Amino acid sequence: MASREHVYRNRLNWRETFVNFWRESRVGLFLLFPAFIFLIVFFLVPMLYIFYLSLMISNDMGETLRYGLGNYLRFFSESYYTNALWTTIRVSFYTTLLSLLLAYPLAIFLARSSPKVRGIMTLLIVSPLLVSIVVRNFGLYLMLIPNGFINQILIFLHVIDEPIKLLFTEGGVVIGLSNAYLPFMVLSIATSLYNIDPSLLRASAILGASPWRSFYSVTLPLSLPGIVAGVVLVFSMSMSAYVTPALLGGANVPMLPVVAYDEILNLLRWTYGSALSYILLGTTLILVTIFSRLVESGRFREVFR
Amino acid sequence: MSTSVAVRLENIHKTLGGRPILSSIHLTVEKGEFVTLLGPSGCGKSTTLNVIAGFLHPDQGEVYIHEKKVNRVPPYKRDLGMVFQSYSLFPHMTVYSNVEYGLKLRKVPREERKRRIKEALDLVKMGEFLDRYPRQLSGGQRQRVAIARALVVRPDLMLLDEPLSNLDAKLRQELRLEIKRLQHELGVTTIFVTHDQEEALSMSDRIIVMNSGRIEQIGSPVEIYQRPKSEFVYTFIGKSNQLTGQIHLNGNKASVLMNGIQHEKQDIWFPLDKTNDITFIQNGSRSLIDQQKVKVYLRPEHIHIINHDLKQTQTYVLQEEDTHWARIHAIINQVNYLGVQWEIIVQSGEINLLVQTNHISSELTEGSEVELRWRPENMFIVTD
Repeated sequence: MASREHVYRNRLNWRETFVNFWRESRVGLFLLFPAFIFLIVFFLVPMLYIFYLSLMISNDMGETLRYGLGNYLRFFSESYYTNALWTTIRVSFYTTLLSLLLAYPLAIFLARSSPKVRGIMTLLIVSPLLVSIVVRNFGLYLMLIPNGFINQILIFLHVIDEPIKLLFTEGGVVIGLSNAYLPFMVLSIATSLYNIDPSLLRASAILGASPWRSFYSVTLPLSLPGIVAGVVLVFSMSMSAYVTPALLGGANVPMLPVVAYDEILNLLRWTYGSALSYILLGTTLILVTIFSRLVESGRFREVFR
Repeated sequence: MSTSVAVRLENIHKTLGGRPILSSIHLTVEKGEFVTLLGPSGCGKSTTLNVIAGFLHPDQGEVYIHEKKVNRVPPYKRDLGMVFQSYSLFPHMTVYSNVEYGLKLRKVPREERKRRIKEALDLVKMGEFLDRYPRQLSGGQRQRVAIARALVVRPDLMLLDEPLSNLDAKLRQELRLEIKRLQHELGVTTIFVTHDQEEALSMSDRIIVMNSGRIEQIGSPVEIYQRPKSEFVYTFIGKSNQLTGQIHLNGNKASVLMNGIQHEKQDIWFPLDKTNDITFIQNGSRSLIDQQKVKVYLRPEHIHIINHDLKQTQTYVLQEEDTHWARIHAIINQVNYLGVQWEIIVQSGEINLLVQTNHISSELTEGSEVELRWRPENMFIVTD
């Protein structure tokens, strides 16, 4: 009898729990609902479909032969594709590094400014995003060409004797990408700098730390969450960038998104292109996860709590 | 120039955004002294502390620490200890690393560091919390660690910037005693900033009362409370009743007519025979003028209530000669019990007065008619 009653009471508790959950969270659930449906229909379904395609092995006529991991295996057996992956990772790495180095001082400047200056500067920093990326890249294209502005200046200043190759090089793509993603890096880092209590720096100074030492021991570790966010954001966006590598890199800098685009739209190898997309996605996820895990479990893990 | 001076500020002026923050600040702090900068917010007390710490540069004037001019010395070379209102522990470091920070910067060897950290944390009763992060500590514990972090480098001078203001009342009391004990034990020169008069009165050897960027008075807690030198000091510290009145001179005798107070339908005059004892603050003219308008202040604890109907004495003072007392009739408006004492609001004529007393007859309730008495020398008179 006792156990039966217990079971009954347990069931009642479950019901109660569910009813309570519904009561407490229904507003939240209603707020979540539209975006949730939107993402399922327009993100999850296409992604699953592409994954399905990537497992399809077809001939050049587009006829499905069988299902399997053939597309993935083919990727790793052809050096053109693995090299493209390496190029993608390398370019993304340098892009992230360059934008980090450019963004950090700017973020510090923002954090030290008055709210008014901060507002104006933030607007200026994000303003490039208002211009279409194609137009921006075309402008850059004209700067980087052999008789473009940059080469003319460098020759004029006698830094170089003859034009250096900037367009259709990895360097050019890195310049283009860093320039496009700099605002994201700056704002990520600046946000975490804003959260640092200024009295911490005064405490550090009064304990005997020079400004450089205070930066190294206090500001830098406490801004790590912003750095990680910025790095993850810029790296992921660089890994999947299309317009900039296509325009500034061309065939010389075959980055994976450009290659996948080619496979799908020019060569009509839908299934192989789909597999390329998934390899790109997987690589990005793995690298980003390793990076953030390493930083977040490192010496300054307390910062991430 | 004795060597016993820890800090000397000479004629400090500071303007921020066109607004004067500090004007002609002169002060000296002796070695081993506990000095409090007291004043309302915005009076310049924190600015003064920041000038001593080196975070702010005075527009004019000299800062000396141990008789060495430090105007151009950055904070990190001044070798001070400082505790902040917001604790300011490094959130990414454990209690141990927080305290270690200053020692590492001074290149103290590892073993000695360990010993001194333990010592400093034991001193503030935080020896058990070495591996905790600040996030895992309460406000009071954080401030204890912050104190240990400041003390561990054995600074010659400790600066405390409202260290108790973020704590609740009970903890504040506890840490107040703790800080006083530490200061006493270690004999470290301490400059304490607060807006809390109770803290200032209970902790300090000397209090520097500041108001709108100026020093109003420097003195011991007793001096500040009992012999305030200005209207501001009188009104800022402790509670007071403010009345207005008029001076009447008759030969050598002076008296004051207090506006609004009536005694059986007659204005009453308070004799100021003991002129020497009465604190006069004169703005402008040096001597009293007949018919001069004045402000009269009276502390609530200086007013004695006599139960008029029962002719029963409330305090021992009644046995003295009645002529030494100012006496008025009043009606009790409100009786508030505060635990240690009563606060009674009485009305006389059109004037409401606040009275504080430790004992009160149970017959006294709202509406009771009473007599109020006070010693004329307890009146604080400010001429216009």
